[in-house]
Amino acid sequence: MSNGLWTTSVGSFPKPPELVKARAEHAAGRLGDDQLHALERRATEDWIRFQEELGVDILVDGEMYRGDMATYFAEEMAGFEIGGLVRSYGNRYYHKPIAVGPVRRTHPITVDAWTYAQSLTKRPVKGMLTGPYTIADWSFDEHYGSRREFVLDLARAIHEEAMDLAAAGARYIQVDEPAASARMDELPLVAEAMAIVTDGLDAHAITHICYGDFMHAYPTMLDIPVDQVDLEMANSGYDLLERFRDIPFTKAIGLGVVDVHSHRIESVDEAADGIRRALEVLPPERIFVDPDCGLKTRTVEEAKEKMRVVVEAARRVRAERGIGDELPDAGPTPGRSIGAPRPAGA
Amino acid sequence: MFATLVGAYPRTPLPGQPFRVRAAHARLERGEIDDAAFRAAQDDLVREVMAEQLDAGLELLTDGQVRWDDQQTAVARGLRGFEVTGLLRYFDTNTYYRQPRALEEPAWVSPITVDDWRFARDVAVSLAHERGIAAPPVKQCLVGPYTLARLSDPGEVGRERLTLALAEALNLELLALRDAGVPVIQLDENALTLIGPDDVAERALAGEALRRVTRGLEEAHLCLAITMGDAVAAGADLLFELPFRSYLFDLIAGPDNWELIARAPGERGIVCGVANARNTRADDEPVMIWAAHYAASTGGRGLDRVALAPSTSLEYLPRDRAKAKIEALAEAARKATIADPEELAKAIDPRAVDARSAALGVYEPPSRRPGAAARGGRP
Repeated sequence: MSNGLWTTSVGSFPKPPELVKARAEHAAGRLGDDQLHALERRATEDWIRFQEELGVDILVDGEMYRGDMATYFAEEMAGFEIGGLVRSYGNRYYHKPIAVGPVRRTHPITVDAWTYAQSLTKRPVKGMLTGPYTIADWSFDEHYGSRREFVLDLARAIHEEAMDLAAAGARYIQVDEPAASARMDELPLVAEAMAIVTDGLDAHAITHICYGDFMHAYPTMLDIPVDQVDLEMANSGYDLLERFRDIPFTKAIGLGVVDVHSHRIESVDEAADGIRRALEVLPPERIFVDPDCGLKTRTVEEAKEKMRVVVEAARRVRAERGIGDELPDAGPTPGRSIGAPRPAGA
Repeated sequence: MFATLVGAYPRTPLPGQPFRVRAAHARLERGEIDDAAFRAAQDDLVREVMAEQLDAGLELLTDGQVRWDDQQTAVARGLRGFEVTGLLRYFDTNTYYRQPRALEEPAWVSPITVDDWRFARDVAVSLAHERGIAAPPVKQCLVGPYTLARLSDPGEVGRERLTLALAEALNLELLALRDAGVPVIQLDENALTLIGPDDVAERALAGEALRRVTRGLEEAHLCLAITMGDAVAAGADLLFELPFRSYLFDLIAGPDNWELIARAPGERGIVCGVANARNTRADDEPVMIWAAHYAASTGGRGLDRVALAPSTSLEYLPRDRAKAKIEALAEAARKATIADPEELAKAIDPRAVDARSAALGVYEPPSRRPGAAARGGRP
């Protein structure tokens, strides 16, 4: 029996209302670090318990201690200032970092949070990092003047963090690069930076890419040296899957089957249908099933319902196809070094 | 010679100020306030961002587009024939828009932007009255048919039909704006930067769409704005055969747009997008002034037909940085009108001793310049 269609999530979950309030109180100086930290840990534990009870295969800590995914890392590194708010879409805003000097890691950033989350469960918890290209692209640069130098300095910093996570025991490490699909001419830079991040990394390395021009980014995105590429698929109608028929996808895929920017809860039928479409072009052992992106913009209830849909849909298709759920040994795979298919002689 | 926005301005607050419109939006979503109360919060924000433009020294204002989720849905929701779907990245930014999907050939039903423009015009009059100055003109911007079609899902309609139907629909919107008395109507056609050198069919489609959307508007001041890259491959022939009286070019993401400016007929206005709207770093004032002078020199245009602007929407910046950018733009525009080179040099940098060293951003005391002493201290 083959195994596959493992369920996971992309990284973030919504913060419970009491934590949202506590973060505002903390920002206003009315709540101490220890009190906030205790609430973050309680919320992390709640999400770990929820995922365990739901039967998710690879868990995340839910990022209860983070605000924006790029700004969080910038806050913890040398060389950044945190700028004012800018809008992302609709009524969503984030504090955009500003590089004002050489950027570098001064201490482990996520290892404590990962270690705590992993201590709560026997199932694997993913290490969650933001990629160097995305941190650079989502920051203002007042120091480098060269995007490549900025990105590669960040790659060295994120590599240190990834190695520390692996040393702490993380077997799945996700390096989010949602900005990767924005500029086709810079995909080689994304790959160059990721090669630094994953160099010698003894873990299943994942990158998450979303909301970009996938049609043009494919198949060059396969040059990014990771074992798995996690893609937003439900929001874009799974249209990229059709291209896999002509140009095979050479890595494992993280298949987004629920839209994270819609209040509507998809039916299990819809999500299962997305999985079946993926099975037409990829074997089950190279498919991980998850939401399109982090669920932090949904309410807690919406996020839980969407996760239930993800897990139920994967279970249903596993049962239909006789696919098991045993997790493989999570280390580097041949897919990490296999890039985009090249024309003969190229 | 003046300074203006491309269109959008941050709706975020200045440091230390409350973020009222975000709070109002959240309350609207929770059902705690109604649409009228939310619109009142937006009205307040329009007044605030227009006051900021006026006090910074901008002379052609906008409402900052602070009511819009994004340029595409702002127009698509007002037309018949679209539904609004999932999020997509806007060009290479970290800003997202909901993609319109055509369900049928879109059609214009009633004015989409006229009421908002009238409100902004009245705000400008009121603000000017409070300050005892003449009311500044207010321009209305909207996405052009080629860009809206290219960023939409054309569905069964197909992109060519969608583009041309949008051109006809938006033509009616432009006529409505003209009839309302809008002094400058700006069409934003950023997707012209996506046309490649060999895209003959795309060039023809864009040209036909722009001809249709501008039909019957020869007496209006239409401005064509192109940001997020260069439109060199779209071609000067296409751009300048159209009845636009002025053109706004992004000269940061698309420095090759200078080629187009050099070929723009001298009677057309040029708005130089020279303040980097995608980086917080302060822009080089001498470079902005040089840009104004160079644009003025092309085709015998003169400074009267040149303006300065950010390179694109200022919404990509935090509010305090955007405010600093428009203040710097207005100051650069003011200094660019100083006719005497020596006076200009002093205005740019009091330490500068001649216009050239100021324009280069380099100051070197006369005594240190090679040969300076032999030439009496001045080159």
